[in-house]
Amino acid sequence: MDALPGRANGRLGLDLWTGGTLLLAFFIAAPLLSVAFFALQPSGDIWRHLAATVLPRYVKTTIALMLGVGAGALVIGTCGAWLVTLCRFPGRRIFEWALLLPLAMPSYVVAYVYTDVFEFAGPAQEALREIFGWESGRDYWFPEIRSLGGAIFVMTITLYPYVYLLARVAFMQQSVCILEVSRTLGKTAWRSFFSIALPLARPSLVIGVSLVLMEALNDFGTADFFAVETLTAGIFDVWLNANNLPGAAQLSVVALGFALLLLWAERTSRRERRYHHTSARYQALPSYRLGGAKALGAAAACLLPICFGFILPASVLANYALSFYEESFSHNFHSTLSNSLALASFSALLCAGAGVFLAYGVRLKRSPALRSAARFASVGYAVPGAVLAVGVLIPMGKMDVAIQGLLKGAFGASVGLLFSGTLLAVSYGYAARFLALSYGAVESSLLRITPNMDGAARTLGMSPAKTLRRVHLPMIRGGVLAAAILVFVDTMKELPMTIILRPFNFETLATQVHQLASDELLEESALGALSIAAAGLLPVIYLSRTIRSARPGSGGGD
Amino acid sequence: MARLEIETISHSYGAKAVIEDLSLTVEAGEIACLLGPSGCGKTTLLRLVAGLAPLQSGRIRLDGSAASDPARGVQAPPEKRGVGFMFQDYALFPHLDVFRNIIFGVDDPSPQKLAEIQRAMIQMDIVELTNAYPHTLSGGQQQRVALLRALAPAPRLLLLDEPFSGLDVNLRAQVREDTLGLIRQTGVTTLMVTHDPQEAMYLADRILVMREGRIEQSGSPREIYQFPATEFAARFVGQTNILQGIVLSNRDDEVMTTIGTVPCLSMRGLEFGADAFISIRPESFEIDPNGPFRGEIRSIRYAGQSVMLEVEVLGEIGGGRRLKMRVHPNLRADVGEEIRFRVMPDFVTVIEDPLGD
Repeated sequence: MDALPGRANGRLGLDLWTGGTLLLAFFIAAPLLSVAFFALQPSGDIWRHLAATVLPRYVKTTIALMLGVGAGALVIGTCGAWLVTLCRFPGRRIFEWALLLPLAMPSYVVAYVYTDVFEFAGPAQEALREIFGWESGRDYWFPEIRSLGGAIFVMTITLYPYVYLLARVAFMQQSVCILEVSRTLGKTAWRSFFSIALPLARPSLVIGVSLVLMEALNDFGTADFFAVETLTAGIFDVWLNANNLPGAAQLSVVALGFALLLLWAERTSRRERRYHHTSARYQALPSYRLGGAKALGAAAACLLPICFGFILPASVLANYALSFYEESFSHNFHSTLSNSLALASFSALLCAGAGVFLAYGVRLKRSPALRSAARFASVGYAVPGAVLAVGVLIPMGKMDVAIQGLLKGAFGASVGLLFSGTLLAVSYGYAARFLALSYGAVESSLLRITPNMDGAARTLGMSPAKTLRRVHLPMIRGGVLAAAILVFVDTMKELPMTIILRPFNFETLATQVHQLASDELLEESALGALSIAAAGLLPVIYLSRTIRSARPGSGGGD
Repeated sequence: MARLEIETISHSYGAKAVIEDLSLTVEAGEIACLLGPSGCGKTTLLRLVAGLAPLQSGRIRLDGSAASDPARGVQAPPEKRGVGFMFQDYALFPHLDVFRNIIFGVDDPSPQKLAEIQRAMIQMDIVELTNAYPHTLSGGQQQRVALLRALAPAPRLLLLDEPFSGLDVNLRAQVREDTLGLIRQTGVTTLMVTHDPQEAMYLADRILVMREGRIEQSGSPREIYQFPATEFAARFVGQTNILQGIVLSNRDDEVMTTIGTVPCLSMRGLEFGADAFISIRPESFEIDPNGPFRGEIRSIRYAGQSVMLEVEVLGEIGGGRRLKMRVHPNLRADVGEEIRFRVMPDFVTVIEDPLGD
């Protein structure tokens, strides 16, 4: 016997796992790369034309929107987190999870509802006219909901939970000792908050705000409905209305610039956050017991965003859904629902599977190159769906044309479009955007398995694939399920990519709700909107369960 | 049972070399123990042998066939090596019960195999834990399960990484006894690493003292203790006194040192007149009213089975020099008292020049 069976192994020996991981990472990142590649192509006058016409407006509106939503979400999220984490007042235990509820409501759904409620013919203004005896719009002033301000309000109220979530975890993990030291040094609770707790939580807050802004940048439904000219809305306008794909791609590059900026802020803060744990000792958090007016104020401060972000829109929708039950069903609700469910389930499975493969491949090979590739493949979550959709379409269209030409030359036959406008394209787009969710969830649950588990299984005769199946998968089941749920819910809600990539006449709940609402048929869209929100409750429940175990030493466990 | 040969291997993490040009052989059926402080590369060495980390240079052979030989592009994956590995943290699979953990590495266990495992579980006193899950087990029980799991597929080589470090002192003796019993019984070639000299001396046929990625000395536990080759080896396995001197006679085995002439059992081939450093274990001193040396007791530490003294040498040569002595616990003396003593040759040896290269 000469040598045991084995193979050459350099630093990055090419085998199934290395090759597969690299290939998968490249595949997922391809839409992003193709947008970037497209941007580098000489584009003639398009760029100058855009810059002279619509671009400044889009950029200015986008910046204003982001500033407004960022500031609003920061204030609401941080205050809410501080109140429920460190103060005692009636209802605190309920607010702890209820503050997450607006996360279940897609911004565009809330936008439709508020338009319905606050527009001239809506119940709010009608009631005011009734009470004060006004006759027409000239008799009084009422804020126009379909405006930039309205969009900021709607997005703030639906997106602040990202900040709340991260701020709450940050406050929970802060060592109480530091706050107490500050108080013994003569600072009041209020000043301790500003001089200690807030600076320590800063990286988490930046991450939260970055996520909010990524969502705001991604939003299409609200901007479109309110006719707010953001970059994302602009991509649609230039492309679908002006039929100018190169122009849309150029706009996508600008949007990509914003996204990368946010991504940079987020990742820098994530690195920074690690150094902000100053003490390993944890005690019960202090609780400032609030009484009287203060308690009432705290409860109101928590209740208000929940009301506007969830209770009000949900009850309006529920009301419509009940009264227009028959009509809602007539709109092919069933087939739309099953379209949505099938597409979301398939994408969830796809992303969970890809996430497991990628995360395990990176773990197995421990190569920095693979890790970077995986990280690059997971930047999609920061990129607006419309941009990714453009990135999916460009290469697919090229491939279609090429295949078309090839077949025509060979057989003189036409096969039509193979990739563009298929469900495959939609799922691919979803994967490019949502893989980060599943990859992150799987990666963090894999991190909790010590590398010695791998070593034990391998020395006991298991191949890497068998090790994954018999050791890792059973242990990370919860994480994989969470990953699948997150992707499922996000694809249910997803609007801009679905609109661009879907096959002709293929409706999901999101596209149908958007279509009906745009046609001022909110009543009939209510059932669909409510279904999306109901699905959105899943991650809310999951998050509120995991957040409780986030505090070290609290014995939450999993 | 297989013979393990490690030939001139080196390993580094980035620019930091953890193993340098190291060679060692473990004979079939032998229990060898790498002994060294943490960070000396012991665990890395085990991982290289198991194939859990790719070998960078050198060669590792099992039973004469190459398991890792980067020069020839051979790198057998760990699952093909037939090596049992017991990890420091045991790495039991939390989702499997004790029995499934143990038979994890056995494909389609035969009835004989199952009976054999059952016997081993009875022997190790864990048979009633068959259906228990790892998190419900004590440290000692987890250790036994991990050991049985590593042995169940009948590996050619058993690797143990700090096998008893997770156990509290009271448990250790018993678990050590049981582990040794089982390993002897299976007769498997074993390479273990530890930083605990007591453990190494108790279990190993041969100890390899490791320091900064190199083997400093290899020998039986008795050899290592009695005749440490270097100051590092001497100090790592116990206490010692290092003195400088000149070889007086290699026939009568005496060294002229800074405290006077000292008998020495091992001269390591040094000739008359050569400079030498010697190590004198504290056990080598005997209090004797007629002894050639004079000293004053500076401190007394009572340790039950013995008494540790610190004695300052009195006299023209070596005056002021302090020595550590271990004497019988029936000693009655006080600090500041003057004593006479002599040096017995059994635990005195010449070591390599600690200042030299």
